[in-house]
Amino acid sequence: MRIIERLLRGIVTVGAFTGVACIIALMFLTVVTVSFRAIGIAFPGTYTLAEILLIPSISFSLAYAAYEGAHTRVELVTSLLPPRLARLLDALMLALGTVFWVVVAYAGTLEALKSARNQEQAPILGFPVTPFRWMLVIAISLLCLVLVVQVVQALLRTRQIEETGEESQS
Amino acid sequence: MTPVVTGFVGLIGLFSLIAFGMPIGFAMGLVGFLGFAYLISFHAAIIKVGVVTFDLSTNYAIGTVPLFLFMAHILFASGIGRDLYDVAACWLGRRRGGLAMATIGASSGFAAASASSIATTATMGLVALPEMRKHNYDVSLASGSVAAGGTIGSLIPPSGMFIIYGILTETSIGKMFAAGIIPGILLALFYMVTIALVCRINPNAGPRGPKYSLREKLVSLKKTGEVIVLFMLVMGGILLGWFTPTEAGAMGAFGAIIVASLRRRLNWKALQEAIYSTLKTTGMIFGILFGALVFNSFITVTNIPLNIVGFVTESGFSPFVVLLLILSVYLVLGMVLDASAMMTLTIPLFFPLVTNLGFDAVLFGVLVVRMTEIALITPPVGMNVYVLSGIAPDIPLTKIFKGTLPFVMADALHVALLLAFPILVLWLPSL
Repeated sequence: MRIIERLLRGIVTVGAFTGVACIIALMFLTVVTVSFRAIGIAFPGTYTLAEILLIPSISFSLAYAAYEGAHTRVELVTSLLPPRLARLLDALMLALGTVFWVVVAYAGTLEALKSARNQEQAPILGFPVTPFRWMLVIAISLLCLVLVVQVVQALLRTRQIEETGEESQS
Repeated sequence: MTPVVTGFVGLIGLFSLIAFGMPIGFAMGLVGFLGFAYLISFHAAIIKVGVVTFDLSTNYAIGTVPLFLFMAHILFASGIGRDLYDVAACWLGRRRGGLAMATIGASSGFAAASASSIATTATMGLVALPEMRKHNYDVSLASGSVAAGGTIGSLIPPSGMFIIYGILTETSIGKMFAAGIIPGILLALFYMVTIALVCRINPNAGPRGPKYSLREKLVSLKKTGEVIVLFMLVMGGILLGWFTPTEAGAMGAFGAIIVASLRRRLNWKALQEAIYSTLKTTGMIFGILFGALVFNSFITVTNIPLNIVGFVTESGFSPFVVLLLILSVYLVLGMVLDASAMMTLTIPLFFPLVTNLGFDAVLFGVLVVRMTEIALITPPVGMNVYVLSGIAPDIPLTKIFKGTLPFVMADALHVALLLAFPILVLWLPSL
C-alpha cells in the first residue's frame, strides 16, 4: 500500500505542477493581451488559448483537491457516529462518489474520440483540440485513482479500528 | 414515476448522501446523472455529462476563479491581513469598541483580497482576536465581531460566491461584483453601528484603545497603500469596462505578485504555498460546480422549476411574499448546510421562479449570497463560528454565538434595507 501511495503522490505532484503551470501561463497570457490592447495592438486567438489553458488548470485542480481531502462535505451526521461506522460510511460514500467521476471520465473519452474523428480544431489558431480533451480525461482518471486509493485507505483504517479499538495517527 | 416525483426522490437521495458525508459536488453529480439517465436515457445522460463538463472547463468566464484566488493567496502570503488590521486599529482603536470596529474595517478590506468569508474569519481570528482580548474586550463582542466581519467577504468583490452564482445562472460576474460594493460597505457600517450600540449599553464591553496622532495615522496608511491601489485598479477596471472579470483576475494576480515583492514579503516558499493553495481551492469550487451543473440538467428535465412557477402563479401570492418565503428557506437550510451547498442546491429550483416573477437576477443573487452568509454565523452549523472556535478553542461556542446575535439583527435590517431599496444593489451594475 505504501508503494501505491508513494506512486500516487508522485503522479498527483506532476498533475498539480501541470495545473499550476497553466494557471501562471493563463495569468501572463492575459496580462500581455490586456497590456498590448491598451496600446492598440491585438493578438487574435488569445481568448481561445486562454480557454484551452483552463482545461488542465481546472481538471488537475480537482485531483489535487481530492488528494488533499479538500472537497466540501457535511460532517454533521458522521461526526456523531462511532469511529468504525464513520470510516465505513466514509469509504462507502467515497466509492459511490467515484462512480460519478468514472462517468465523467468515460463521457470525456467518448467526446475525445469524437473530436479525433472530426479532427476538431481551435477557432482562429487552428491547432487540434483533441489532445486537450484527452488531458481532461487523464486528469479525471487521476481523480478517480485518488478516490479509489482513499476508499481502500478508509477500509484499512476501519479494519485497524476493529483490531485495535483505536485509530492510528498515520 | 412521473418526472416531478423522480425529481423529489432525487432531492431526498441527494440530501441523504450529503448527510452521510459524501462530498457535496460528488453527490449532486451522481444524483443528477442517475436521475437524467432514468428520465431520458443512459446514452443521453453520458452525452450530457461529457458536454457539460467540457463546456465548463473551457468557459472563459470561469478563469475568474483560479486567477482571483491566486491574487488572494498571494496577498494573504504577504501578510496583508495584519497590515489592514493595524491601519484600522490606528484610526478607530481610540473609540469605545474601536478595535472591534477596526476588525470590521479590516475584514472588509481583507475580504476584497481573499474572496472568502471563511478565510477572512480565520485571518482576523488570528490577528484581531488576540489584540481585543489583550485590551480586555468582552469575549462575546470580540469573537462576534470577528465571525460577523468575515461575512462581509461575500459581498465585497471579488466574491467567490458571486462567481459561483454567475456561473450557475449565466449572470454577468462583472455585474455581480459591482452589485456587491454598496451593500458590502453598508453592511460594514451597520456592523460598526451595532458595535457602538453594544458598547453604549455596556461600556466595559469595548474599552478605549491607545491614542495615535494624526501624523501616525497618516503614516500608517503607507502599509496598505499599494493594496488599495491594486483593488481600485482591478475593480475600477471592471466597472469602467477596461477589462473583463477574467482579465481583472489576471491583472490582480500579477499586481499582487508585484506588490508582495515590493513589500519584500514574497519568498519562494510563500509563492509555492500560495499557488498550491490556489489549486486546492479551485479544485474545491469546481468539484461542486461540475456536480451542480449535472444536477441542474436533471432538475430541468424533472419540470419541478416549471411546476413551482405554475403553483406560485396560481396561488395568488404577491411576488414580494414569495421572495420573502424563498429567503426564509435559506435560514432553515443554513442550519445544516454550508453556503456553497445551499446555493448550488437551491438555485436550479428558485432562479426560474424568481426571474419569472420579475425580480432582477443580480438583486436575487445579492440577496441569496447575503442569506447564505447569515447562516455562517447562526447555529447550529455557523461555519465562521466553528472556524473561530478552532482558532480560539478556549472560547465556548455558546459565547461566540451569543456575540454574533447583535450582528444577526443588523443583518436582518440590512436585508430589509436592500429589499426596500433595490437601487442600492442595482445602481452600480447599471452604470
